[in-house]
Amino acid sequence: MRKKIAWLMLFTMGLFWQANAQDRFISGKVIAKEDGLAIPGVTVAVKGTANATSTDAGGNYTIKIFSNAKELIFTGIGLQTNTQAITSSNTMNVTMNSDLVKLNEVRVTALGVEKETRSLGYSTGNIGGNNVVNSREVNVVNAISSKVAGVQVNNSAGTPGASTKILLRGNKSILLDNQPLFVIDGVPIDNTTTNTNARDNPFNANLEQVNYSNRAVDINPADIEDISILKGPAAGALYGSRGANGVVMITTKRAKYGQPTQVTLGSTFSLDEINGIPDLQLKYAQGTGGGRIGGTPNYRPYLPGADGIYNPFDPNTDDIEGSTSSWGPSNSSLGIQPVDNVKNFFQTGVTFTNTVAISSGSAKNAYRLSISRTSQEGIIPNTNFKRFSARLNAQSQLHEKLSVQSNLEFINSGGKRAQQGSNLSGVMLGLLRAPSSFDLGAGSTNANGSQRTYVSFYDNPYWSVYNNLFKDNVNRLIGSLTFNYFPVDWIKIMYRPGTDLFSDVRNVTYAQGSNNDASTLFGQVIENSIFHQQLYQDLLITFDRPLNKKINTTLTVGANTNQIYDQQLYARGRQLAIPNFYNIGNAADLYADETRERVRSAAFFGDFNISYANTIYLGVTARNEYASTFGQNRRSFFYPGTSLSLILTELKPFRDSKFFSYGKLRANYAIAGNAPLAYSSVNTYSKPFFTDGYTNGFSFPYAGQNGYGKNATIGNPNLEPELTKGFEYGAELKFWQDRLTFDLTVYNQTSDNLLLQRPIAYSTGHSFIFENLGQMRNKGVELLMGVVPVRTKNGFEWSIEANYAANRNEVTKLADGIEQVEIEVGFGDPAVFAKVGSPYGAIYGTKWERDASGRLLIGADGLPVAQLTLEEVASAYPDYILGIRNTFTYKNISLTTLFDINQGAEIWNGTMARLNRLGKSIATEDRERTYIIEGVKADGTPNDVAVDAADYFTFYKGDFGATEEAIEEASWVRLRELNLTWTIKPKLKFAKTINISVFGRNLIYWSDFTGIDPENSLTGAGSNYGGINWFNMPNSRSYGASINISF
Amino acid sequence: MEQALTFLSNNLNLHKMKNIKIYILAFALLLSSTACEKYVSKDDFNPNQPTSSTLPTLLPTVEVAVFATYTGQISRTSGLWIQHFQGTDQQMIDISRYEITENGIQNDWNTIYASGIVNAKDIITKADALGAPYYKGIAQICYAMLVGVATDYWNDVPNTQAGLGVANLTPQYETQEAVITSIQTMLSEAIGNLQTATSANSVIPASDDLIHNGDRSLWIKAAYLLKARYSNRLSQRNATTSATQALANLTAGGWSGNADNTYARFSGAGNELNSWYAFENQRGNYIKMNATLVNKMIAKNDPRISFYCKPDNNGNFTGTPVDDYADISTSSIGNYFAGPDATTLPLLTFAEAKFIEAEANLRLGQSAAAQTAFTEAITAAMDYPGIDAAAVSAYLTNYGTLSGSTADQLAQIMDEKYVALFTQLEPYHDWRRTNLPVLNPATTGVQATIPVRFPTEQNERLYNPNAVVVSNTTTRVWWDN
Repeated sequence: MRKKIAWLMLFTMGLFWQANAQDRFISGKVIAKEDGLAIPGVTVAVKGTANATSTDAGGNYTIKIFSNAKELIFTGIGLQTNTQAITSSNTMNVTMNSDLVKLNEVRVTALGVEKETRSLGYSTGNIGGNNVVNSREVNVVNAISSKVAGVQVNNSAGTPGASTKILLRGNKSILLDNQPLFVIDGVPIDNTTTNTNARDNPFNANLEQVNYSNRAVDINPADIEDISILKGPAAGALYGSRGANGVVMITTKRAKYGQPTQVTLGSTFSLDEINGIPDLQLKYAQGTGGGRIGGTPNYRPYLPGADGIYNPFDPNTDDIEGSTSSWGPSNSSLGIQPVDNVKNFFQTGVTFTNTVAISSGSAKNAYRLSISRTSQEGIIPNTNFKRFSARLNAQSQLHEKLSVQSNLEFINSGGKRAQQGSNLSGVMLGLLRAPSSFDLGAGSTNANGSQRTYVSFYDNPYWSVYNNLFKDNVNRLIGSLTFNYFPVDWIKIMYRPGTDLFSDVRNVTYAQGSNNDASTLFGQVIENSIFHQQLYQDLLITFDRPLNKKINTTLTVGANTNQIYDQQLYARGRQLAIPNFYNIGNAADLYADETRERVRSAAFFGDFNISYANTIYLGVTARNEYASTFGQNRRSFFYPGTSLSLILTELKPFRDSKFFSYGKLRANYAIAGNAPLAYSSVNTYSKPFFTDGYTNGFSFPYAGQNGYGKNATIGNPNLEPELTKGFEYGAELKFWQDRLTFDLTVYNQTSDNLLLQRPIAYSTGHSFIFENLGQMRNKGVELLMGVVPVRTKNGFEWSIEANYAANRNEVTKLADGIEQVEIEVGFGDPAVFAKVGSPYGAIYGTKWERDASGRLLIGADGLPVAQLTLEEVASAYPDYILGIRNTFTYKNISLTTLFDINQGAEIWNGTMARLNRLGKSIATEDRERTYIIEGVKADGTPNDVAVDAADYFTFYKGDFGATEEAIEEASWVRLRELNLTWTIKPKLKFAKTINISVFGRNLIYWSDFTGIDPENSLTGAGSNYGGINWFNMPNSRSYGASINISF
Repeated sequence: MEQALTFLSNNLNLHKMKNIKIYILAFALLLSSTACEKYVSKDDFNPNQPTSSTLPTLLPTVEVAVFATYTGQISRTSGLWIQHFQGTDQQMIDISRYEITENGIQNDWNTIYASGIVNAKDIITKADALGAPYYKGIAQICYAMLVGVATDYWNDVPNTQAGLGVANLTPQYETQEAVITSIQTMLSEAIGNLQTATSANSVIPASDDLIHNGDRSLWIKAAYLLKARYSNRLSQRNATTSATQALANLTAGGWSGNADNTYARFSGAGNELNSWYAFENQRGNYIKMNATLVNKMIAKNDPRISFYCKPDNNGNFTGTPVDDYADISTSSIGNYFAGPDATTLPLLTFAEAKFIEAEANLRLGQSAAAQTAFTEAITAAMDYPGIDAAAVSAYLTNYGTLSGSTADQLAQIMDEKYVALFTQLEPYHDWRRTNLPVLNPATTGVQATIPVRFPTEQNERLYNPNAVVVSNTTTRVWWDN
């Protein structure tokens, strides 16, 4: 198919490739109506051709005109578009009106097509490049946070390279990715978060390892001109099976034809600090027996004997295992000076970003080259993330009727990460549990080279960060070519092939003595190489023609194909012969596996728009898509969409209102999809693994024999895409020359046909069957409000922008007889479920037994009783999100604050429950007394049975208690961004503009959540699991300064 | 498509442009749905997982499922309940307090049915088609072992309707009586299949048979001991028949020593670790030796104690008593069973054959035969870890003679069997069946008595309307009545 399109292109080009005689030049000056000053950077284009240039610093332009040219179009940011008929004169001076009410504002929509914002019958979000850059985030997804209504961004940790998850209008799928499609310059790119997992050993894999990157981390934020966020199915319908979760459309910066050469140097420096650390008690030492009235606290440090290694199989008994808990005697009674290990461990991280960008344009060619390097040292020692990117965006008018544009970016990224989560090498696990009587920092190795730690099976975090290393190295090429051909002035043909190609080479090593090494203490090395290739192409033919003076029509018909190929090679060697020599060949116990996946889709589509008198706009889209992931019995699917926009201020009563500057009503209905997982339509055998929940279990090859068994999930040849469909209504109202603006959207979307790994009884011989059975609903409100309370003549302006979004998700259907399914394998209790009648991702866990009036039932031992069954205990998603930006501008100084308010989400704080049980949390300091838990005894009388502190914090407040006890509200108010920028336009030869800013990110947050910053995720962006806190990596705050010089 | 474009071209006055028609035609061709369909139809083949399998790759799967079932969490749970072990951390404390949940036993139920039985049935079907009765026979024995564990712990369980995949998503449960009958039938068939001529086999198991490396005589012995085990299991249902059948099967089996044993086999490779070693390695101090067993052995000066237990911190052999969930200063399970060099765990042993023989003879009133078998049983059990002959005879002198009433003698046999079949599942079944040895339940448990079954697994309760759901772990199984 690709070949055919290329052939067609050549053929059609040949047909119309006729040189035009009688060329001439038109030149002129563009000035502003308000002050008569020249306007630089205005694009001057011959209508219906590839021919364009732009005005220079003096507002002057010159453009070559062919004999058949009819009109010149003048466009510029903040200016009303001006169309002028070409006359015989060779001079054309133009006066431009400023566009206060943004009549001509355009937005990038599906397939990268720019449309007038007023014509859109659906809500889109928009973030300008400046707001992206000013966030000073390494990961572009973080820069979207709190800026657009209906977008939830969750940064999984403040560690370098950590993934960030983004959701538009909530979750729509049970099993598949819920994150939007990312598109750069019209071509989709990969934003997956891939774990390094062996196929033989999935036990616990989701809950440990390191915090991997989501691949959008590769994008250099400084290259971004604009981000358009297509939230609902109507906006994304043209992406068919990739559109249900919405689309993030990124447009990169380009140079203009005829623009003078501009060089921009940018440098940013910032410091990162840990943000939010649980308070721990420093009074009591490692040991057992404390917290009991009349009990004898027993100091129990780890004494590994002469060889420095605790060996439970050693018949000599000089080895004494340390206690995991801090229920020992007080440090003072032992004469031990307590140590605040947590405070000592973290360091100040440093991030440098340096960027050089050159943009230049001649009459026929223009290019922008940018080179950027970011280097981030983490708050955890020996962790970092580095990114080098080089982007060349070039365009050329090959011919009056043909232009070509190429966008190409090379990225090298990666770094070093530390182990996290439910992992005996996990940094936070070893750190937070460390007794204050043991100084982790007083050396992490013993004299004989063995690990110095406090319990044989927890790694000392200082040791772990240097001896358990995860390194990744990504080389990536993102590129596209766009050919625009104009056979006649009302037809445009665009052909756009693009690719996203990367290799991600990962190397994981565990030194001898590492506790995460599953089998032995003899070291481990893992090589994981990931290859991703996407080949995309589309052909769009656009007919743009007014039917008469009032009715305008545009029709785009097109086709595209997409192929995604992923390959993962995984090799693991255990039992290293020579210590610290990490090569697979050095291992005695070898394992390897391979995964390949190819997904293809092909579609044809149409987009028809008709408008009447710039007042009413109707759009209809249709896409018929074929995909390899649809079952063999169901190869293609049709996605329709329609939208309507009505401009109130073009109508009689409002047209001449000075106060009511702009009003628009919009409505739409559409269907967008989510393709099933690859190969889920076929039945296979797989290599089984045997797990008992406590050990790594068994897997194949076993004793040199390979083993296969029937795959746990039964395939289904009738699979269809998941479908998200629904209505959206909105109103956009602007008053008083935009000093007061409102944009309200309400939507009701049903996601149907949801793919389920429907659990079945294991006695069938299988665990699941793939079926399109689920359904969930997202209803919500989004409100944007803008106010300019102060705008003075001396150049002071204060503006407020607020965006509010509330989304209500409800799982409305699973399969017959299935009330709940676990979303991903996790802790068991708590577990994350999709359950009918509850929001997706509700957390399930054990609850306390209560009486009819909800009081705790207390047993004879004075402790409440946990139920055995799991019930809903928390919802991990917020009730609403509110972002408030205040901007104060005075002449060339601007101060911006961005507050982020996240209300109503809940988190299982397992970390704190465990720290309670281990006598480490600050609450457990109050232990030399008894506790009476409020509740009723079996006879209904109030409880009066006192329990020891140790029991109180173990069986009630600890993780031996009911899971519900550890649920905490995770609402927050946070100062997400603070930015002070000073722009100077010095009259210097070498510099035209200097921008200096100082900034802070995530500086302060207010939350009742105990422990670490609740903006956090254990399982990262690649997971649908939320609200689980189990020794997660902490978040960070940063502050720094930046300078940008243009000349 | 073409019609639509013609319509559009007419309405948009496209017909004025001749060249446009060429576009439209070319475009319509391009978009032809057959081309699209062809383009996306080349990826139905899953390059990661095969669509078929072979006997030599299915057999290891089924045998490892047997290892996982017999030496994994079920064996730890049983050992905790019969006071071989005591839980001193995390979930092992819960189990020692008799708290067992419907999802706590999920992995085991999954291993039995979704890794073991489904693939054993697949071998049986494939072996019939290919003419491979040896494979079929081994698969039938493994099937019997797996469904045996299922019924011993869960009473009524899916059997003939189990493991059929999409053909039956709601398998019927069969009574324990029916399941045990079918175990006996299947084992008899297995023996017949393993006795066929080699020439009747198109393919013969060898190193893919992880358990016996293709040795049919050992498999036949295993099948007879299993038949004897399940005959004797019904002592409460029919004291006499259970005994005569058990003895007949033992005679037919012709066991002669520990060389005939069946083991689960492990190695030092990370994915093949001895289950107990792996547990001790990764979950150190979750489980300690129980004072009930340790004190029993110390009282008899049992020479096996240094094989069963590691010395404690003071160099002694000690156990943590029932109701104590904190003392980890005591002995852990010994290196003979759970050390890095322990590459086997027992599944079927000569000692068990002899203990069944002793018990069955005693039940039939044949006390001399019971005594002979009892002596042989103790000798076999001592021989298992390699206790030297002098120590064995000293032990036999003190404890090798059956005496007192039949009940006393039974108590002696069951007491010795309780110690001898350490780490195996049988002592728990024997205790339920005979209430021997007498065990004092924990007083701090969630219930007053030791559980006598597992609760119905969660997925069965939720997704199989045909499941016979029992959540109460004090409800006895059929043979325990």
